[in-house]
Amino acid sequence: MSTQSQVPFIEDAQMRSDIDRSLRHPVMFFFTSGAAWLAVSLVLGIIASAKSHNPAFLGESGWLHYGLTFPAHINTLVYGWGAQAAFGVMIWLMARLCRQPSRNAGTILVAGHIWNLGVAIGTIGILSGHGTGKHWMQFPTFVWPVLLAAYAVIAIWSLVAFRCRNTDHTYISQWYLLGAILWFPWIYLTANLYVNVFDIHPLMAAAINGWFRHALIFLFFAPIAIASAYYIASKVSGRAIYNYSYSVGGFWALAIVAPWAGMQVMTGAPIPMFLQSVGAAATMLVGVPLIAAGINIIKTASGKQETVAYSPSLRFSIAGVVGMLLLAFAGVVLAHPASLKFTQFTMAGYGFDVLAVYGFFSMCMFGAIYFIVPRVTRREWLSRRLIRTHFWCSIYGVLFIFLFCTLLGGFQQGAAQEDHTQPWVQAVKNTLPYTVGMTVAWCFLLYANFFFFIHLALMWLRLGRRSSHPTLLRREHSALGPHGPEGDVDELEAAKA
Amino acid sequence: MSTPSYNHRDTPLRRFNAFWWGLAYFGLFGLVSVVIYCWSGSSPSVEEILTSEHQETVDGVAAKQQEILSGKQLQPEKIGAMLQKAPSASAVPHPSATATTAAGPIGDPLKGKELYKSKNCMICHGPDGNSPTAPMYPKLGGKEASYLAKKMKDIKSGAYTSAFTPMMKPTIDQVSEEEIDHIAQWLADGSK
Repeated sequence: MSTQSQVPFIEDAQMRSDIDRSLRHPVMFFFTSGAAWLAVSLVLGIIASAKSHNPAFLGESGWLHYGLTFPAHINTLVYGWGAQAAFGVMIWLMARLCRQPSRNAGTILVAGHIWNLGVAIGTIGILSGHGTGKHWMQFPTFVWPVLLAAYAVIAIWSLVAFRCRNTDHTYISQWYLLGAILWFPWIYLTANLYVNVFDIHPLMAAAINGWFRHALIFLFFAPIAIASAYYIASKVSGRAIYNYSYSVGGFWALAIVAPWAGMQVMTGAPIPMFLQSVGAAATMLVGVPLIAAGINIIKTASGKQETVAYSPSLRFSIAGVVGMLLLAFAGVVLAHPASLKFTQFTMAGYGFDVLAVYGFFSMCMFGAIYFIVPRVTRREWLSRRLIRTHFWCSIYGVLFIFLFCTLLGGFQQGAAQEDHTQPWVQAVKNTLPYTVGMTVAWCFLLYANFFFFIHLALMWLRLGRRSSHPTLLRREHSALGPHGPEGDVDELEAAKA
Repeated sequence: MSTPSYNHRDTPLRRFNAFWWGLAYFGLFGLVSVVIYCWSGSSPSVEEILTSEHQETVDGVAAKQQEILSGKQLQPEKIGAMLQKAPSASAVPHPSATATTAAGPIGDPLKGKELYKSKNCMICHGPDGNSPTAPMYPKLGGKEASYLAKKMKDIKSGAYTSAFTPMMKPTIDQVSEEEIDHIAQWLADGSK
């Protein structure tokens, strides 16, 4: 039996290269198509946000009004960008950690195309007025079985790879990836059956819809982001995880607490009280495993501030972890019953969703993409300026959204709604500056991600830098560094051979 | 691609098992959901249950109302007969009109006492009108004179019928309307 510690370095490097080559096409497809959907989602988000404070924006076209563009924006963000980025990171990371090159890249690529087709048809369905009207589940009802089948074909090979792994140790990232792979079909299938198929009471369908959104965030997006952050923090800083026991404890805490979160969105509705209370309590308590994982990852990279500043992967991943801590804080604040009274029917819920999907998950995914793509394409990123623009504009945009939507705007709107001495329209007028701020924030994010998509597409076309030195955000490498003298990566390898 | 080091876990059987067990797991929650949904029965929706309960209540109230009102509903031809006997706007009171004035007797109680005996009223209603010889016969003494007179006249004319008016009809047909007024006044005055 061979363990990882006994494998010579050259053989290990060759195996990593084999893994990267085997998964090049599906991984690059997921990342590039995901980035394209992210750009589409941001455009739709800007239109929806502008329509909320300026309905005459882009004229009176029926298919561009808020009721269609907003659901299209959210669903493309979640299923077009979020899910595909998750798939790309999941299949690559699991293959790397299991030391197993993929034998099913073609099957995964076909399933990825089917997923994209489903998302495209679903988006067209929403914009043509055939959405279901259920938040985060607005694709027409015939789309979800297609997406679930595509997911099964994509994810099953990672499960097989884990089962047949070539390592004796189970890395913490593998725990989280395995959890996400197994939780997604449970969440997606159960929610869609009860909301879209079975004839159940509409109130319970609404409660299950609220549960679905939180479960998708905490049991699919969060585990994959945490898995990626653990890997990047450890790999780029060159250190072991700060405390493996804390990391496993954090995983199980997330697994136990997170499935209960979500039904506090129906507070005050005639559904059983315990559902509302348990949902609120679980959303607050899920901060514990998130904070545990966050501290563990930050401690792993602590003392390596220069590395965090230079490495795009580590910088984005640490920013994503900070976003995760903000999400934990936001969960505690917004799910508290005293706050729910003010924030339940306001933009605070939207701000929470965006903080989760973009501020936390997407930042971790960007970190992973900046790490994975050069290894898969054997080319380095073209421009550190584009990477810095992507980073800072994303930070500005997410902070705007967190401040305007989640904190200030949500509570202001809720307080004005609660004030029965003034007319309802006053609450709407109070919210106007925050909706304008939201539109500005989305513009920042679109600017950031438009260039990210261009950069990624150029890498996909293998037009990146042919260099053995990674693209860093600060100073140039020296020939005495760990990467050796800089040169064309293929020529250097030919010289070694 | 280089020759990988030996991996004892990577066998065709293990891959096959992992693949099919994985797919089975993915579909498991759907199967469980369907089983739970079907096992809980195709019960009617809450709206249907509430609607049927509400309809039952409405039907019950309507039936009860029908039962209470059925004995009291006036037939159209009887309404017409009653309207014919209603006091007219003319200043001259009709001698056969029902005297419903609250003030003043409508007949002579002394004559009424004699007529009560001679017309055989005491046979069914007793010597003083309050001792009926059978429980189903009404007590007459002390009731308002105009009411008693109207009732007798309605039985006589056929405007009022009941299960017992056929027994009264032959007797009351022998009594004129003026005599009815006297009898009614005697009964209203306490049958003394």
